[in-house]
Amino acid sequence: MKRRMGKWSTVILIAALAFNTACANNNREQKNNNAGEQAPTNQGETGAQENPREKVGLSFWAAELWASSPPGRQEDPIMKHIEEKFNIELDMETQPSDEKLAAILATNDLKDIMVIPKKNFDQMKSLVIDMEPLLEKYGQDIKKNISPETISYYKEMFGDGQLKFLGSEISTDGPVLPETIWAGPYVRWDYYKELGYPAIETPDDYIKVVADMKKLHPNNEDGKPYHGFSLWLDWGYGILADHWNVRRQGAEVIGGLTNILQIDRESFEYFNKYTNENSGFWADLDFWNKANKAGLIDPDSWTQKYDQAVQKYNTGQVLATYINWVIGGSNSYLQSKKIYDKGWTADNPIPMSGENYYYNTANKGQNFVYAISKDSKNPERAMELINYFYSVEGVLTIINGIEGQDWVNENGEYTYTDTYFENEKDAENALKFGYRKYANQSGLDITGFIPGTKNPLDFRNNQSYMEIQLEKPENALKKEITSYYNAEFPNKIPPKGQEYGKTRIAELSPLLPPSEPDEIKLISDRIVNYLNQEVIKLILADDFVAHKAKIIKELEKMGIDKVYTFWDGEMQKALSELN
Amino acid sequence: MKKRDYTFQMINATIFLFFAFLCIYPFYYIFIASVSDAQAVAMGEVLYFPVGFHLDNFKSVLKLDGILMAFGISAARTIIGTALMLFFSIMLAYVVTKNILPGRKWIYRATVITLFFNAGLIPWFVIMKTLSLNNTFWLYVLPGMISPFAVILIKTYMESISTALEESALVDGAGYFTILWRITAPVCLPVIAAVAVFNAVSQWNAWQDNFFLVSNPNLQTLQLMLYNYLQQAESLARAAMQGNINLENVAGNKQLDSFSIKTTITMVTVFPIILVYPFMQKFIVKGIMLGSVKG
Repeated sequence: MKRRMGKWSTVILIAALAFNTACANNNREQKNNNAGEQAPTNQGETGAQENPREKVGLSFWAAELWASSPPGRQEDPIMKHIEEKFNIELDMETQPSDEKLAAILATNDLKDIMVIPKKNFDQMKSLVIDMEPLLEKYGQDIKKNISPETISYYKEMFGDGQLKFLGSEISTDGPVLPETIWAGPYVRWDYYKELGYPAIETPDDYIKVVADMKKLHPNNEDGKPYHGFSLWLDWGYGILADHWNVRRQGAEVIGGLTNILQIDRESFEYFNKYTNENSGFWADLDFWNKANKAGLIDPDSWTQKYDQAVQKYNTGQVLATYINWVIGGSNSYLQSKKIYDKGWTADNPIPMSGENYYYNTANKGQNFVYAISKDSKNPERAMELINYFYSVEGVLTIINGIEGQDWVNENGEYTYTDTYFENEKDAENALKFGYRKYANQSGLDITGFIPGTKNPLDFRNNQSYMEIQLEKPENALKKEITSYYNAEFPNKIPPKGQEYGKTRIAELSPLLPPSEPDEIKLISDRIVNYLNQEVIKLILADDFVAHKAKIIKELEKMGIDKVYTFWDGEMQKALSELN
Repeated sequence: MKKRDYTFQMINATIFLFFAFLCIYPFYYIFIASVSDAQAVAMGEVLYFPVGFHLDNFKSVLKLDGILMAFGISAARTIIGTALMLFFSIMLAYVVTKNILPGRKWIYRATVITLFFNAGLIPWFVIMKTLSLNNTFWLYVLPGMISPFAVILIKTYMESISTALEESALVDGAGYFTILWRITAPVCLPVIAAVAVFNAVSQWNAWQDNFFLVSNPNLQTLQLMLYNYLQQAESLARAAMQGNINLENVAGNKQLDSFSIKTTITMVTVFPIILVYPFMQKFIVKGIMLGSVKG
């Protein structure tokens, strides 16, 4: 028996070895094949000097696309145009998850071109090349459109003196339009009109307006009862307390898990938003407490998830919100019933005193950086392609389509063609025709101007385009709101004498650490867990002031000061680097 | 039938019918939601019957480029992966039942320990790449050839079979290979069927290996293709909500509702594999009862 068992064990062992060898051979063969495939490429490198249009394959790790698309070769006309122009085949990774990025970093298996979030630059620093030597020959548009200061900034901050990373979406002359005020009093406009356009000067006024609307219209078009607001808590307490009033105070929140710092957009003065009783954080919670006392909050708010809340907005069951992106679907709901002149103010909130209006400048880029892998067989061709994304021609193409086909430039005036307008009607136009699909790969800020001109890079920001849009029947509501406020265009409602500000706050984020040290993170975790439960109790509390005092005391006991001390130190460093 | 028995039967039947309804209703709801108007679903109007019946969602999904190929890949990985898993797991389970195999306890423990300890994504990614399994069909079937869960179940079942059966075969001159495939394996059919179904379901549903390591579109699985489609629908819906798409074209577009897409995708993916269950039911019941009743 033993002998037979031994015989079979040997057979299985041999089979396993044979299989393993086959795998290894396959591995070698594949490598050889790859090398074979690369052989012409290597020749191409040399040949690139003689014939720069030799066809090569490039791989590209993309920042998230505007229209989700499977990875691999992209089939839209814009990418075909780019491939043809550079005589390349672009294999694009279009699903850039953090896990996938971690895996390719661990295996040093980078794509030729990487567009990654700034937070990951440190892990990738040793795996990418210095792009500066390539700039002279292959990066003329980068040199032309990006200031030497910005290039120096990336060399110093991200590459230890070398240009290993270059930020994308860099603003050259500020954005065409002011930042959309996405947090504020958004209401159903036709009901607001019925109430006689009451002024909303304070959060209390907002509550009163929504309560009056509910009295006037307890049910929607389908006879379903209206909620004043519908909230969700699966995103944590921050969605309720870090937005509207923080922004009304002209500030943003920043700093780890707790976002502990409330920082002024212009002066960069900051404080601990939890221990400062007048912070936007507490003002927001006070607002929700009062809204709840007025019976305006959907009772499902404490248990439902984001998707469920959005479904309610999408089916016209909610009268108001302070975050604009949830309300767009409410207008589609009415438009599906062919109602175009009624609906919600989805472009801008009702203007109110104290609201902070500003232009967001990002002259050091936004969240992503470009890099070229050390293993790239075609760094020159990669650089050429990157340069294209920083060129006016490239950005105009990836945003507006192909010149002559989708748009024309007649005597310096850029206009869309009928083909573009026809294609734009297709809800899947980004996917099918590529319009703005690669917007996150743009080297220049697409909300800005063509460098050296007053023409927007995105022709949708042309006054003429916006005028055409406003004349369309489905935009009747938008037109009414715009003309009521006597505004130039929908998201530039006059701020009642207030000046538009500018902020560089987006440049601060990459200078701050992406995470906290363990001992601080431990405290932050406890604070976040505590607040996720306590914020609901505070909104439901009869005595808001007493409950708020109890929470502040508890946060102090939990060590909120230690968290603040850490972020205070980091912020000081970041500000000195920024300046 | 006595009146008391009749009453008992009625109550019993009612309770179990209600229980059966609770089990079936979620599937039924997914079906009616997938063929109903998205807004009616969102408004909570669809409860028992479809409202605004349409097949647009199914048409869109079935019109996807390459869906037949993806279906073929998923079916192939299910069939080949399950067959390979059965072949190798049965062999391993069999040899570890043999006391004469040197180090059998260690082999068994080394197999079982992988059920409890997982190295994580990156080591898995590195190993698969080192073995050059990325961008190959083999990635779908080779790593799962030994299923520790299946080995435990099959081994336990084999140990419950009388040794006399095997000894008499040995006396008649049969070798181990013959004994395993002609005598032991057929006796183990219930447990083999049970693990086959479990494995087939997990193979059919798998998509992460494809997501991380296979970029060749010709090797795309049905699940990943549908996942991509869902992502597209969601990004479209997001764009519509944020005003990046002309609302005129979005209004009334039934496909834009990601919940409808989710229900349709659920139907498309669940339906083929659900067909396996009725055929394997009698084996599965025996298989999963394993070890629950002694003696």
